[in-house]
Amino acid sequence: MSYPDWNLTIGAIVAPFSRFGEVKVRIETDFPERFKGLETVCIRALDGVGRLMAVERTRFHKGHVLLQLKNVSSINAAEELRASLVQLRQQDAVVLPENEYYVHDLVGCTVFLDSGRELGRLNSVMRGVANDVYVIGQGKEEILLPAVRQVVVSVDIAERKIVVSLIPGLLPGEAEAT
Amino acid sequence: MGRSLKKGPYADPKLLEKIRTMNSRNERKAIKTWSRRSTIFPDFIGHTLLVHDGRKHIPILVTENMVGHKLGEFAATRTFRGHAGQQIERRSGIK
Repeated sequence: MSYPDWNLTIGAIVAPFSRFGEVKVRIETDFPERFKGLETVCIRALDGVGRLMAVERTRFHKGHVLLQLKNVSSINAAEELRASLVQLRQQDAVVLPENEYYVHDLVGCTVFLDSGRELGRLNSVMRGVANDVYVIGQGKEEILLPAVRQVVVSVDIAERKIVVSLIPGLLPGEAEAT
Repeated sequence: MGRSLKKGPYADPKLLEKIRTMNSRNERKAIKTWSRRSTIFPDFIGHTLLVHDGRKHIPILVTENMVGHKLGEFAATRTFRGHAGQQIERRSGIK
């Protein structure tokens, strides 16, 4: 079974842990506490085949999560799950506050200037210490915009549209150098 | 050993001058800089600086709590972009 709805990755199994079939999971979510209440997850192998499994126990250990899955009770059974992804449904995603979006929702949106001119497609989001940076376009025509209120006017995920207002100097070749 | 207090914090003089000129004109323009070692002065608050990460210039909006840190701290030189094609539960906020 492939379970296409279960495509939101929250972790990746890195290794078996203990001889009772626990698996060590690298956390791939901004909300690690969500592992505590997990009941069912989709374990998706590298070949894309997924299977729904019940979670019996969860605990945190040295920056990782240890999952005890139902019907996985030996180290050999756990070994088979190595490198698989731990996934949930999109509807299980944590509801974000205003002005926060999931990176996978933003990627692919078309970015427009407030004047209506199209800037390009949002290719990726670089997460920064000060502010996130939207990467628009590719290669030499790549435009980097800070994800700050002064620049990002509106984000419409349903319409796949982001409107920005540029500060002079943000476009390539425009900025004054020191 | 830290920098002598007698000398005070360092910032690239050209960058500092540009920002002070913009402040006196009440102007807002992004400034490209390679000076990752410059300390963020209170004069920088509200300005957008394009800080070089070794490959490209990362736009950074300077806020109050960044004062005293170096510009380079906010433009990482190593970036892990993750595995392509996965929908990972990662959020991005507009600050």
